[in-house]
Amino acid sequence: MPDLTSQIGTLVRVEGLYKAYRKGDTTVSVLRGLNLQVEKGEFLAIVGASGSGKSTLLHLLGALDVPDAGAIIYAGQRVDRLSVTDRDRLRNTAFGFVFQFYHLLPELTVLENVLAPVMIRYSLWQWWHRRRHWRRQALSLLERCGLAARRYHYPQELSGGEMQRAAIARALLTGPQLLLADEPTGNLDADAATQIMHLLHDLNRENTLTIIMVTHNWELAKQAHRMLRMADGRLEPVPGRTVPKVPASLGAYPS
Amino acid sequence: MYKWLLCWRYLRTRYLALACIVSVMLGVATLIVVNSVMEGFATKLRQRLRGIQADILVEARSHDGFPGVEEKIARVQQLLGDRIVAVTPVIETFAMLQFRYQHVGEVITRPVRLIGIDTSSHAQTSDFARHLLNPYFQSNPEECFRLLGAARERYERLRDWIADDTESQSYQAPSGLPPPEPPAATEASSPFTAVLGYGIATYRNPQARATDQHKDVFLLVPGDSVQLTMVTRSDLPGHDGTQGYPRPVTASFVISDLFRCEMSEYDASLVFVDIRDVQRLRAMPNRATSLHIRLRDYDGDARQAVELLRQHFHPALYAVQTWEDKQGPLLAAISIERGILNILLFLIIAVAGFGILAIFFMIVVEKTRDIGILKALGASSRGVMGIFLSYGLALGLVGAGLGTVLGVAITVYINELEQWLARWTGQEVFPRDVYYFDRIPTDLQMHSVLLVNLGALAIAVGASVFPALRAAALQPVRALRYE
Repeated sequence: MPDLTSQIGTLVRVEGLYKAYRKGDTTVSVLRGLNLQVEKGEFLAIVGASGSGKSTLLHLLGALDVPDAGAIIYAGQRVDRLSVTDRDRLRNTAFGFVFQFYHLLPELTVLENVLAPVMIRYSLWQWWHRRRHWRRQALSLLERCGLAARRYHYPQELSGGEMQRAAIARALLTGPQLLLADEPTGNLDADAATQIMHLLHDLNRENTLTIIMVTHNWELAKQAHRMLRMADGRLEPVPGRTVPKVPASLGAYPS
Repeated sequence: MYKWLLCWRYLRTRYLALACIVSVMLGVATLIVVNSVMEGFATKLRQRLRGIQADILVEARSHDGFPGVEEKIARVQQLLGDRIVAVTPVIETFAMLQFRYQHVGEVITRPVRLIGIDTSSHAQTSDFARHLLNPYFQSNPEECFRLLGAARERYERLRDWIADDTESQSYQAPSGLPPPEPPAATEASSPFTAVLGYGIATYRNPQARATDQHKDVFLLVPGDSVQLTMVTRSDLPGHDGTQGYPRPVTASFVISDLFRCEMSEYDASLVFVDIRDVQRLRAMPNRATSLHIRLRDYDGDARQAVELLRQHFHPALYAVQTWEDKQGPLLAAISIERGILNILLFLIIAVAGFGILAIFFMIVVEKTRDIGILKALGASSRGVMGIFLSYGLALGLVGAGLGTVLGVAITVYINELEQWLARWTGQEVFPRDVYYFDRIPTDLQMHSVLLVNLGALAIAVGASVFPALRAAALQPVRALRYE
């Protein structure tokens, strides 16, 4: 039974987030005063039409981009005000990313792809001294994702579902608290999509991993604890699902 | 750490990058080969130039030379002590050479440089002996003015044959002067003798093919006689008390051997005779026009020795210089030539650099998504830049390494290659008679190979700076959207 006290509280809070893209004279306002609060251990699904700004929100949450206005507070820390170096470090240590197109590096084997975050973190010398520990870690994650046998294969030799599982293993290697998934099943067939969703649910439950998943698939979104819809640059509760499905361990979900 | 791994993987999987490697390789190989051959030519030329020249020359500014040869030599020996190997007096003058070419019946006249040498010491100051054709003289240069073997036979046969229509006197004294003493050669019956430059005694057969062994036709061979006309010292007053002026002296010389140093300029103009003969003919007893000095350690002592000699030989009367000073313009021309060639050839590597630039830009565009992934996983801009810089360095290293191997191999086997090319194309690539070298000379120099390698690496890394900066500046979000 995991320690519950550490799981209670807000992990991510977003206040009045604005983001616009400018191209020449035209400005496209994507996020317009968006607010969001995500609790620790929550599995949140965000749905919306394509182009509604779901991915933009995810990139802002993951410190890949900076907002025009508003605040993103991660574990009590203003992410949007961090320096470039600190944001690089935050991405490397605190967040895990899963993308629609898997985004594995084609030159590296599955195992090396999973190890990529720690190889980025360490210099050659540091890596040499820690390689055994991280290799063990990566192998156990691959085992967990059912890819142990595929560890020396290259991404192009894997099926879509396998690639996505490898990407999830990579996202989990550094033990992040928050997993940001951008249409993780968007490119997969139904079976593979179900497998991925099962994996995400298991991870959410077992490791109390907080997951924010962006999708346009309502069926998958319904499996999350809570579902929000992106419209007009803001998030709104989905009608008919106003009562969020909160994990029993967390008790009542504050509205 | 990922930089090195990715760099290594890119190197193994990007075949486009092979083009960069090949261009760097070819540039480096070319530079190494050209530098080695140029250095080889320069070294060979220096050896040749030096071969017949002593280390230091003390030359009288007057054509009449200086008196008191013995004292001057003693002074030099005293000044330089055991730093010298040998000192020898030389008389250098211009002369007209005249001979009758039997086959045509024409009298041929040509200007030559007459060098009067002291047989006992001259060979110690230069490689003179090595360039004599007669192998006996090569090891016994002090006897090079003796008529031996075939030369003596030919001389005696010709002398008896034309005895009736040639003047009994072998030389004519200039008007108003007492007749000079007879020749200095050891045997009393011997005439004046001379060693002729190979280019004077022969001409190149225009019909000869490149592969022919004997391409030269002999006009003169040892044993033949030539007339040499020179001028006397200019300060001899006439018997009637008139002011001194140079008078022509003509004497007949028998060729004792030929001289071939393979510098066509020297071979076609030098005639060596015994200094005592020139002293007599030019009426300059105990005089010489220059002293040739060979040092034990040229590189270490030359400058100092020249300075010392300049203090004791009045600069108005004597020019003291090293052989390099004397051949300065020629040696300078070689080094300038090499410098320019190097600049031009480095442009080849610069072209390779632009190739790297273009190919790297393409790779950066191709890898935009991967760069986005790396940044999403926490890679810094500097780290991404590092990937491409080290990739450029790796390409440069591999290219320069292969180029060095190729260049050194070509340099070592250049003559075999040249022969193979000549056989294959039917064209002579290296016309041997132009330089008289039978092999293409090469001199592989460590520091120039190193310099070429460093230059190639600098260009390879330099060319990857721009693409690397561009990769580093990519916004991760934009890169990830890139499909």
